[in-house]
Amino acid sequence: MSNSTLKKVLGYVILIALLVAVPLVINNLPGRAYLFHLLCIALIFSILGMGYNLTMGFTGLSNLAHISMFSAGAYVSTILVQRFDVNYWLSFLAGALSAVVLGAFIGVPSLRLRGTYFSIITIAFAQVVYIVERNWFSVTGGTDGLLEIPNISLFGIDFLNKMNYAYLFIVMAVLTFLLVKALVQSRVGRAFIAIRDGADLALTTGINTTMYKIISFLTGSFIAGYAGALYAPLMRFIDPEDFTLGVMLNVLSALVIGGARTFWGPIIGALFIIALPEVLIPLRAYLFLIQGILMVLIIIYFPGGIMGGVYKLMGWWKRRRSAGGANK
Amino acid sequence: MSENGNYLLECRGVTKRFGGLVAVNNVDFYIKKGEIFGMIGPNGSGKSTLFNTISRVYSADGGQVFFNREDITHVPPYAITVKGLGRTYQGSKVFPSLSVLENVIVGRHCRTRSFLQDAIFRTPRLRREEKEGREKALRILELVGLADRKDTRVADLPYGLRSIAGIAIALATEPKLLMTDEPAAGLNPKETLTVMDLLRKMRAEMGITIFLIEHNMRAIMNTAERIMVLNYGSKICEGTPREVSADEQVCTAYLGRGYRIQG
Repeated sequence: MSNSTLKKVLGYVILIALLVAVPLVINNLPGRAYLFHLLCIALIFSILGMGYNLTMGFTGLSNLAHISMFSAGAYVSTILVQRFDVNYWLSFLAGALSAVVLGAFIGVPSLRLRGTYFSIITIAFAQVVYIVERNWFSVTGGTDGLLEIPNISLFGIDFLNKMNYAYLFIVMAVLTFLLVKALVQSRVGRAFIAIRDGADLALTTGINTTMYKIISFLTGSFIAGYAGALYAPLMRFIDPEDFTLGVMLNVLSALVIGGARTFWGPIIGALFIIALPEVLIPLRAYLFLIQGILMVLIIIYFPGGIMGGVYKLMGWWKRRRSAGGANK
Repeated sequence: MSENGNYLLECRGVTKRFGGLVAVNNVDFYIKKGEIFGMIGPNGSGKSTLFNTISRVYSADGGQVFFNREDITHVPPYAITVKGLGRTYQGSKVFPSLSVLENVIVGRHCRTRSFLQDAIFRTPRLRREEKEGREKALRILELVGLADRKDTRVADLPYGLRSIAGIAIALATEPKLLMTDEPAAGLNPKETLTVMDLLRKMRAEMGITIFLIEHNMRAIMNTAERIMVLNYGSKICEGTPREVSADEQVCTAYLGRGYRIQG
């Protein structure tokens, strides 16, 4: 018993050390600015993916408008900072809340439908949001986007150095991870999983399925919203092309490849999907082809994604060891 | 209001249509507190549809349903569960990706309160409910005989035990009336006996009234005290197992001529 607790504590210590060390290591590598940028993007997509995992993975709502809530967070926080001179951290909160409002606007009517019908209507809503962003010049800057987004500053530290962004995003990713884990392992999270596993049974087991679907959708939107508010100052420039259906499909593939319904899946998936084009630079023309083939292979052979495969392997290893012990 | 305070469930003229098909046609019946009430009928006679209409998975197209003398015809399904009407499904629906213990804890949902803020801040309420929920779920698993499989994923359970897991989920909602739809379907004779014994035990030890659909005649005739027979959505007979099996119409529609109660 205490042995396993010790192992757990040791695991956390190693993890924290790793999280602190990685940016320091990158800081001493050549081409560090680009590496930091990649790491930060991967962390933002991890956060976005963790929110998506809550609705898509744990609750089984195949939502394809998640990217719209991400865009709402990015646009609203940026507009507040640029036009109304609002403090970044206030606008960060406002961005997250605006995503919840947009989530309610999209989710409440869409969630009356199930399965594929739900997916299709969310695509439609996402396209509406995209078209509004492209055409509402006076507010979103249209296709020109919003330029010269100021850097974040926190406690007098400015974020000119990308390493500071990396640390900030690591902290945000850890907080998101803990939030999702706490939710999923509670009464609320079990209601999410029950809805995914059998909506009718969940309903007659006393779960207000409509309410919990909305809660799941809005929590996912909230996370997407603050991910967007973090994205804008990192990029220093946003336009509607950052929030297309194509990007949405990348978020979806990251979750499927990493492993939906696992806590680590969205993180592994985001790292994978961001690293893949860099690794494949010589084959860049075939990127989407390779990514597509990879997805098909993973869906066929590892339906639980990378993390699903890892857990399966760990279970197999444990059983083998305990069986070996019993034989002796 | 029902005239008889002893009625736990009463249906008056309950009707359910699917387009032109009348799946349940003007059905009247009542179930007394503490009874084991059975329902039989040929495939497609509307038994499961009647279950779904009572538990509000479907909305009734006519008639009224009273539970504990309260009209529940338009109460949402999750609220009906809170009032004490639990059910299982045909083909033993469970939450397949969760463990046996977690399945039963999900059943405790409507008897617990903790919410988002409790989950995020791990409040005392959450910790108390999690601890109580585990203990109560374990007690239910002991009662139904699944305690040694508590950490197995339900999807990995043998079929016979999955049916019992389905009953355990319903038990966790603390029902006054348990409606169970073919709990012995696909089970071998020994497993069938275990399930029927379990239903009797639930009534004896927990005072739960049972409403049972079953195709295994030997099992239902020996378990239910009163039986209702549906055919083409209409009630054609009601009475003790002996009365029902002697009824001319029931024999023609369902049991077959020359049927005798065995056992």
